[in-house]
Amino acid sequence: MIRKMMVVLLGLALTFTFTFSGIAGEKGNKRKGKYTFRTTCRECHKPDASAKEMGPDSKTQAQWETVFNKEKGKYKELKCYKEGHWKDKKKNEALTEKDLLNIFTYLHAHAFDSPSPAKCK
Amino acid sequence: MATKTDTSISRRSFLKWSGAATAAAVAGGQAPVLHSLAYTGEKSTGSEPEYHFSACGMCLNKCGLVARVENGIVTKLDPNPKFLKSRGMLCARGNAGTSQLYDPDRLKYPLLRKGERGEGRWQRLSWDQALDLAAEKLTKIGEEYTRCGVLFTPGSDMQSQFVHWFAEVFGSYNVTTHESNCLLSRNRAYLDTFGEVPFADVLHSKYIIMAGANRFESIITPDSIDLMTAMKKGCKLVVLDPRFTKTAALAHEWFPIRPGTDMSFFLAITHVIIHEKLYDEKYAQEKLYGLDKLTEHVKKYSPEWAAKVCDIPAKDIRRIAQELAAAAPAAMIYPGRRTSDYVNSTQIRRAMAIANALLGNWDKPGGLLAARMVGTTGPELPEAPFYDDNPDDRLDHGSAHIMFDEEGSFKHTRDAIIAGKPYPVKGWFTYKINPLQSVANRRKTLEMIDKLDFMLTVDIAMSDTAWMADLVLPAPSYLERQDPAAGLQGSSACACVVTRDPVVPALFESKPVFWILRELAGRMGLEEYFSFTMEEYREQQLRKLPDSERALREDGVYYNPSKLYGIYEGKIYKTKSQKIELYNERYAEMGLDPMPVCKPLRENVPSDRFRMVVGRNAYFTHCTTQNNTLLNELMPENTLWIHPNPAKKLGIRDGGTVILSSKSGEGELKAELKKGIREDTVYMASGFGVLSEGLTNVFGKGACMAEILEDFTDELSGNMAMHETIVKVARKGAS
Repeated sequence: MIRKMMVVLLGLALTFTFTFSGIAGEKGNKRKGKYTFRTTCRECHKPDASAKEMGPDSKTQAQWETVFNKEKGKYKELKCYKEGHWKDKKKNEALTEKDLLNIFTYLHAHAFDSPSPAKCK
Repeated sequence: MATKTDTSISRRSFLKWSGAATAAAVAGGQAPVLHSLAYTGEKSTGSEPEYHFSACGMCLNKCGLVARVENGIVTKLDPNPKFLKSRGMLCARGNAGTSQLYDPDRLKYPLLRKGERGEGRWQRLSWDQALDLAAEKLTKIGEEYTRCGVLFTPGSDMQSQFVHWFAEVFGSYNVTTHESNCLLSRNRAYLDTFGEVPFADVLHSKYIIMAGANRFESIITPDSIDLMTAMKKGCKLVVLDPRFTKTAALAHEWFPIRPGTDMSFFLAITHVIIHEKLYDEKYAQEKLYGLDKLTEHVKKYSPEWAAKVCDIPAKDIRRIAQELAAAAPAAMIYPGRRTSDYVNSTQIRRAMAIANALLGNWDKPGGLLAARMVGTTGPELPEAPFYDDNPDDRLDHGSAHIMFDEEGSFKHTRDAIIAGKPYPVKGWFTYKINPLQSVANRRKTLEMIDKLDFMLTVDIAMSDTAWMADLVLPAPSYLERQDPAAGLQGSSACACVVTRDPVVPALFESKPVFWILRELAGRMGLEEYFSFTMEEYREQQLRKLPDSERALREDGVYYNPSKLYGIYEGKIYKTKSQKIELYNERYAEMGLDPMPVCKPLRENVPSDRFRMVVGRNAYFTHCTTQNNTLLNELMPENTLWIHPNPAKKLGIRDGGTVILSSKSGEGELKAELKKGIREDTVYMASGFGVLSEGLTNVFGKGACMAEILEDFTDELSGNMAMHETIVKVARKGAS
């Protein structure tokens, strides 16, 4: 039984790794990503809130690629990620890989050095 | 200064000031309306005049003004002497604001189209009827075609931000504005070179090359005024323009450049600066990316080569490059604004931006400046909803190489609506914008409108666009409204904030678009997104500027004494290389020319044809003020500028009627023989040849620019290319 569970967990982990490792090269829905970023992250990252103000133009495209790259795993080191704030607040569920891909696509498309740099407004 | 806003017009005083209040038919309609509201000049016997601060709304500059109100009537508009951005100036258009307010042609109440489009048969509706209908139609389109099935097109107005917000909460990404008919090519070029679109420090410049910009007529504050002041202090102005504009007339040197060849001139300027080592090598080492590649690239672009392309002598190109470099860094190639001219406009502007980069003028006095801190803050609004059934992107996504996500391209959007692909758009909401007059290829815009189920226009007057709509809602003028705060960049003059409160109450049944959108939101289950008042919105905008309320009350303007020069000291540039990009890596990756390459014109002008160019004068704002009674006196109709030599060959006399035609359409207007235009080029002003019978001063006058122009676009940005049309000119009656 335990062995079976381990296989399932390993399978899930591999699936996650496979999907998410390619995030910087995949294309998500940047408009959905904007919505998810705003409803998930903005509460703390808006001006004068508890965390540093953050929007797409807070980083370069390369920096966003690093943050959302599975191998470097930067996003997992973020305090808010570790504390479980990366979740769909309506459903009270962790963000899915698709959600993360959408957020990345939004942030990357409007990064500091992108063709259309933008704040989160 | 008092800023009392509780003035009102009694019927008695209204009639006294209006002279004759005459019943007449509304533009093509059936209901009687007041026809005349002109100030008679009769001296007031009432109370003392009141004076109110406001910001002009006759164009985009928002110059500070003081309105004099007597017996509830605005009798005079004067400049606000404390408004630095316009250097205390109010132009002819600004002075004519009273004529917009008291224009007998104003829309007075909601109108529903009853006949065929353009037939001019209207039914008067109550506001409740009109809003119920609009809410029902927009909701139906949203349900049937997704929320992206409605296109929103707001003009340049202080309340346009609420149209953007409504579009977002309604759920449509399809928003186009004025900008894809105007300045996107310049923005693209400077973003892709410096990472930011600059403001020109004209006042402190010693040498300015103005290519295609007509700053003494097409007024931008403070640049237009500062240019004159700078020239008095010794600044040299060189103008390249196929027309002898008023700017050319006042310039030290004017070169009637061959249209479309500006890139060759600026590549040759760059050639001279590089090969004569006229640039600051230390600066270049620290700040510029790709100088080695550029050096190699421009080897072939000598002044001798360019002279054959652009019709400007090589010795002049070389001398101008040397003079320009000697004046650097207080020298510039003026970036301009409307750059919607050629299919390679972004690359043309890249060539100018690159030459600017070599002058080392970025962030320096007399050069190109970064945006200053203004300090207004975006209000905290509820999170806009997301509609899962919506398509992934805009209708025009991917139709040009590097588009602006929030602007798109009107031309490509229009083509997509006509084609019904990649998805159908069946609704159109326009606010104070007139694409029927301003956007090339009017016939295509009419074709697009034919594809729609519902078109709603909010405007002050019955523009051509309103004339074609299903529902027309009357908006007040800027003197009758409460508006949000606007942060303005005024180059070295200032970074400032202005706002507006009603100088007089709104006339007729006109309602601000903010009110209209709130009402629509309430009818469409979106009320939570419009639950704020204008006062609350403005309070949030100004929450980080504690002194602004006092300054706006006492001076009509708030200034932020923010840093002006040296903003980039110790900072990286917002480009991929984090330096000023002479060579653009992203372009190279996308298969685009990483440095501007001079290519043959899309079409040369045959000997029996002309290239048509367009441009502004000081009287008109795009296609919106031609019907203004005061301004119309200055130019009652447009004419075709044509050189006397080709005119003679064609049997055309000065003042004679000509037929102007292109692959898009044709028009009839009077010829104006001018030696100050190239023999291969013709020019006409915009805003005439209207469809709308509701514009009584201009209906039946002149020809329509949008009818003649073909709709080419800049390949990189999707911006319209308005100088690509080759036209035929014939004397009326000639065989």
